[in-house]
Order: sequence, then C-alpha cells, then structure tokens
Amino acid sequence: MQATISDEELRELLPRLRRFAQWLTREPSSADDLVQNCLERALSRWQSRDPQASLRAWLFTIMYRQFVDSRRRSNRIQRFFERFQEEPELAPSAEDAVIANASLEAFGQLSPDHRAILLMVTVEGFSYQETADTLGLPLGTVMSRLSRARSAYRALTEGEASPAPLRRIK
Amino acid sequence: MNTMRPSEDELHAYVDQQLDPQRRAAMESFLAASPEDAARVAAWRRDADALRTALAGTMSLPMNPAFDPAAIRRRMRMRTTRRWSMAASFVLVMGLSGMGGWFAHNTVMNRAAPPMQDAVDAYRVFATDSVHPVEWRPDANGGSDSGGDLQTWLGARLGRPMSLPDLGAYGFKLMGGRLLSTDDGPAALILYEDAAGQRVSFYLRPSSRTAPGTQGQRTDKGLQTRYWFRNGYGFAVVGRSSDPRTTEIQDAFPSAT
Repeated sequence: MQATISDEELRELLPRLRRFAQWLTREPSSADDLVQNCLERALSRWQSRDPQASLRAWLFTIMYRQFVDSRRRSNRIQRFFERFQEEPELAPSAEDAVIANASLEAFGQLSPDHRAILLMVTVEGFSYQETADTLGLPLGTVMSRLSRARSAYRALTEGEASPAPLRRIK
Repeated sequence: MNTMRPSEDELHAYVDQQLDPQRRAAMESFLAASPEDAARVAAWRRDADALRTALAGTMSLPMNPAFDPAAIRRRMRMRTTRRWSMAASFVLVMGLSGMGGWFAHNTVMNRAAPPMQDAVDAYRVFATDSVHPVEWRPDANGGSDSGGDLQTWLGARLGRPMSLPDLGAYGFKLMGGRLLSTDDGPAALILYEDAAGQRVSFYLRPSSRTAPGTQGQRTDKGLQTRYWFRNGYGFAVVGRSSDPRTTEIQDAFPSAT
C-alpha cells in the first residue's frame, strides 16, 4: 500500500467529485465546502482506507457520508433561522441559468437521494454493491431506490405520458 | 404467465450492464417476446444515456486552485502550525501574567470591545454558574424537553417567534435560557450542556450598530466565539476552544451570507 494518496490520482478524480458534490447539494458554495472537506478527510484518513475498495468509491463514500451528516445536523438549525429570514434567499444561482437542458432540469428536481443513486449507477457506472457500500444501504434498498429514482425521472421527463410502473414481484 | 419472467431488479441490472452473460442472454430472449417490458427497458436506457450526456457537460467546471491536493495539504499543515503557535502564545501570556502583562492585555481588549463581546461575557458569567445558570428551563412547567415553553417565553420577549436549535447530534441538551439587557436591547442567552457538564451557549440580541453581513471568529482565554449579524440581529455561539465539538457546532449554524 502506498504511504499516501498520490496527488495525481486525486487530481484526476477531482472533476467527478465536484460533479457529485454539485448534484448532491445543488448549491455552489455548499458543493465547494463539501469537496474541500472530503479532500481533507481523505488526505488525513488515508490509513483507514479499505484497500479493496477503489479510490473513487472510497472518495464518493466519504463525500456522501459528509453530505448526509451535515444535512442531518443543520436541518433543525436551518429551520430556526428561517424565522429570522426577512425574505427567502432565492438568489438564482449561475448554475440554474446554465441549465437549459431538459434532462438536467428534471435531474435537478429529483431528491438528493435519487440524484445520488442515478449519478452513481448510470453515470459513474458503480456496481450495485459499490453503490450499496457507498450509500451505507443494503443491496435490496439500493435496488428499490434505483427503481423509484428511475420512475421519478421518467415521470419528470415524460409527464403523465409515462406508463404505470411495474409492480415488484414478491 | 411466463415462469421465466425476470424480476424488476434484473431488468435494472440489464440496463446497467450488471447481469452475467448467461442471464443477459436469457433476458434478451425474454424481452424479444415481451414488448411492454422491452419498451420500459428501452426508456430507462434512453434516460440513462441522456443523463450521461447531459452530466458529462457539468464536469467542466472552471478549475479551482483551492481544490488542488497540494494546496489542501499545505492548508492542513498551516492549520496544525497555527494551532501550535496559538498554544505557544497562550503559554507566553500565562507567563507574562505574573508581571501584569495579562492585565494590560485585558485593558486593551476592553477598549477595543470586539463584536459580540457581551455574548462572551454572558458565557463567562452564566455558563460557569453551577447554581442558577438559567432562569428558565425547558421542563419548568413539567413539559417535555422540547423547549416549547422557553421558546414561547423568549418569543414574547424578543418580539419574534423562535424555535431553538437542537444540538442533540453533538451530545448537547438544551439546558435553558435567560434574558439579559444590553445597550442594544434584550438579549437571549441559551445554554446547552452535555453529559459531562460542558456548556455551549447560543446568544442573540438586536443589533443596529454593526453592519449586517459582519461575521468572524475569535478565541480568547479558552473560549471560542463565532459571531455574525443578520436581519437586525447579532448572533454568537460560544464554547470551549479545547473542545473540537465547538467548531463543529459553530459550523452547523448558518452564518451571515
């Protein structure tokens, strides 16, 4: 095992990490924080890495866990601050302006969990097992979440025209 | 009914190319005979292709030098160094205190009156008080520890409805609060306590003199203070600087943006 992470490898994966962060948070400054925290943790926890897992899967795992933790922690605190908010801060992000693409628009409307699983499985090409490990879910949950995410995406891109979802065979 | 009918999971695995060759062949012959499923699978596949194409475009973000691994390593090293030098200066200050240096330091601090110093003072007075740190406890009326009464009480006095942040995730329970009067109006001091008796405070009061958007952090005499100003209020979170959870809690608060 290497003594530390090679900067080259990290640089190569950086665009993928940034994309994952961007679609998890949908907010440029939070995405940047997430990328930064993820890299710091990766560099300081290199020793605890499971040598079996790919570097990419390991980094995605770190990022996803940090995202879930921060979301869980800040939810209640955020709610408190909404009371002190004179007007909603709905500044259109630069990103929104760029999204003219219908696929991305629909993707952006999915829940963060659905975005994460679609991105990992269909775009990054993670195996179901790797996805389960990264998200910290049993394989069965990954499959049902993937199915729901696909239906949700279908419904958004095709509106009412989408066929009724197939029942799962018990 | 076709007994060879694949499960929904297998349909997905087919789209995602995660079936072994044997099952894939079986799936292909099944789909050839089942146009409805074939259409569903084709639609999923189209969606996946569309997403791959669309998301490929979102990877070309402008390069951010802050994310370069070398820069991150440097920052992490600097932070460690800063922590050491802070510890060193603390030792120095403790050494000087015998010669009145500490007193001089204090005088300078008072004259400068850093933002939200009242929050730090309130922590020093009340968070260390073991007898009567708060004048209102969430369970004062036999209620739960949700802080409902305290919130109503504070809401009425501050003139705004409010619900209190929950710091349970960090091991801190809402202890209670008290109102203080300041030059800027009524201030609320909310204290949280962990099982070991460590306390963290959340403090807020109206603020008209400080520009909104002002924010910062300072560490002084073992206390770490994060403050920010927003919508006519000043906020501060104060805790022990030796406790790593202090920073975590402070990070969880959305500061001025």
